[in-house]
Amino acid sequence: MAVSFAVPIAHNRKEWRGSETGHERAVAVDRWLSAGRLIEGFIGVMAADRAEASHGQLLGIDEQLRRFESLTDIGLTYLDPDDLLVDLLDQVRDLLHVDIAEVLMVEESGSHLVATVARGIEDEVGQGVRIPIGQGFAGSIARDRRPHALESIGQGDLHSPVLPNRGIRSMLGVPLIGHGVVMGVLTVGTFEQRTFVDEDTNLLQTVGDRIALAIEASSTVAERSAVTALQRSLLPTQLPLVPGLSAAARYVPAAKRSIGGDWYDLFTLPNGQVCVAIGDVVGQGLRAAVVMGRLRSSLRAYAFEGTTPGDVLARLHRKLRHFEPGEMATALLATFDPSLEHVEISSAGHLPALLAAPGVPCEQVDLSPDPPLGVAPDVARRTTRLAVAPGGVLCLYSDGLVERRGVSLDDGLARLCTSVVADEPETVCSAAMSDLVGDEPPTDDIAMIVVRRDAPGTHNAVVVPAEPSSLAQIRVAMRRWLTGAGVAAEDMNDLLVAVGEAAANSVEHAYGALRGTIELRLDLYPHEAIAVVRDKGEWRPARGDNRGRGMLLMDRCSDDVQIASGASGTEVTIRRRLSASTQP
Amino acid sequence: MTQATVAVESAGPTLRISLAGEIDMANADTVYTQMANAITNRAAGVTVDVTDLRYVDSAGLRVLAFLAARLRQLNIGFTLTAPSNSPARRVIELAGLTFSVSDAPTEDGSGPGSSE
Repeated sequence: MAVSFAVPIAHNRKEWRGSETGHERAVAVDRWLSAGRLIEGFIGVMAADRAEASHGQLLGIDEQLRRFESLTDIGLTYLDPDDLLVDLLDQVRDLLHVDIAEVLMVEESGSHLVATVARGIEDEVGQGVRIPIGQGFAGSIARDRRPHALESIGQGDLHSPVLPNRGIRSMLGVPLIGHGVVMGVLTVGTFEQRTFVDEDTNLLQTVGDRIALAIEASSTVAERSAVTALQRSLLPTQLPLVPGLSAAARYVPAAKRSIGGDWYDLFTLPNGQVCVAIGDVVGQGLRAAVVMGRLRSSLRAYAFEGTTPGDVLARLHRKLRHFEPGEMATALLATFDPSLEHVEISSAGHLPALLAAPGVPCEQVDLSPDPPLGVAPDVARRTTRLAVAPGGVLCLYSDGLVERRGVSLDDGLARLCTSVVADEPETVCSAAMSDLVGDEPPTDDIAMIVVRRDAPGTHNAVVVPAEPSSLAQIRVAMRRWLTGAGVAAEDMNDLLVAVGEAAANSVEHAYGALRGTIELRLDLYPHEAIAVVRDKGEWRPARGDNRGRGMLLMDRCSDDVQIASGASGTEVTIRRRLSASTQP
Repeated sequence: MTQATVAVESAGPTLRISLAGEIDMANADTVYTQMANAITNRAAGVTVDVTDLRYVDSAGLRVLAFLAARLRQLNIGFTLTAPSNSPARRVIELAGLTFSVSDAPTEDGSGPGSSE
């Protein structure tokens, strides 16, 4: 495991400099106390520590080591790994009676050490000292993975001039090794010349091992919280409200392992299309989450260009391969027509989407997936077009849902199929999670999103901002409701115009400079449609030829128009008989 | 957001402008600008084809009427093509606009509403 662990430079630690160790510890204790992070049992140690230190007593090595171990244990609860290292290095200085102690970490590139935290010689960190691995005292320790001591520093012994300039005479250093990989170097130094004996080296190595463990643990904690924050910011906590479509989603991170790169998405396009996506970046941790975030926004951008799902995934594949070579992801994109009657699906190596309709059992969408994103050469990606019945449910999910320990993939898929029925998406999600996950903590991330093309209802409603761009949204919603109910095209077009003119009047006149909303209710009965357009603004009579023409159109496109205007707003009720071919 | 496409094609001295998509107050001015930009004073006639216009409301009619009035000032002929069963034809008729519209291009009559 390569440890990438960047610690912020400790400028914010200035107020501690030059203070006595005992005082620093007191400060540290106060910080722990105030942060509410004190572990029971540690109180005693620290209290004794504070008392003894204030008496200037020297503690025995064993006692100091024991205390050091307590510190690294509690270190696991630090939020900022920097704080932990500062405290650990001060303990090292006490333990070995040295003047300076420093941790240099291997940079992400793996070619250099960078001064990360230093005590007694903070300049190194402030100057951002970087040492090529293999060069100088610390660089050799990292290369050779062996402790090294310098009794008397000579010309060229150190890569950085900072330490000789400050009068450091003797140095001892050990590698910090975690999971067999050198993650850094721990060095100590003295102003007086000193011969470091084996006992010193062993002690420092013991301390170094503890530090390596603590760094690893805290970096894992830091990474996990970063991933969680990233994931929360990327996954929509509230799905957008889409007229005529119900939706629900679940995201459950793996209980034990670090978080991966699963994502789901639901968004509308300006032309009224609705996109539902799911994906899974191979790998885990912060890196996978970052790649996921990039894929998610790129997918939105390509979909926004109004191309087919297969083309969106083809572009996503080329983009991933160019900018993140070596990364791999599966993804599935389903784009609904504005009417929601059809959906187009393309799959990049993702598990099959599930489709269920009223009275029709759930089945896997029959399409051969194209290769995953990122690894394979360019291929022509296919788009499959399917009809979605009113009330039909589409379920997308990541492998964490169906790949359970001790259950074959086919069995998992079969079980999921029995949970997915043409019902409320929230109900479907709950049933699937309950049936497949139950009380067993997930071992892999689980993402799922379920959408339903709502069956035509008698009562339909939508609320939009009172602005020109909402007029298109209103038409998209009305077409879904009217098409679903089988209303004839001529009736539908007239209703669109009548309601459109009423809504346009609200946009233009209801609110003045203030913004408000427009509410549309459309009730569909066997022989009649009743639309109510309501705003909370003031009615203003039509102005100019154009609005006059609008009122005329509203009137002529319907059988009856009533305008009720009062202090609380305006309500325009439009009634329209539906022709005989209608079968609501 | 309301979307319309404005396709311009020149056939000798006559410009043919095909409108598709939807026009309402959100994009009417943009559609007008796109049409106007395509018409130079060298054009002898302009045909606007609204066959593929899926939706047009009073804001869309306003720009059509305005364009007709403007072209009359410029002595440029204006014809509108709208099949009898098209949504645009229905709205134009309901609004009582006096363009001559039919499948076969005809000369423009006088369009009211040009004062806006």
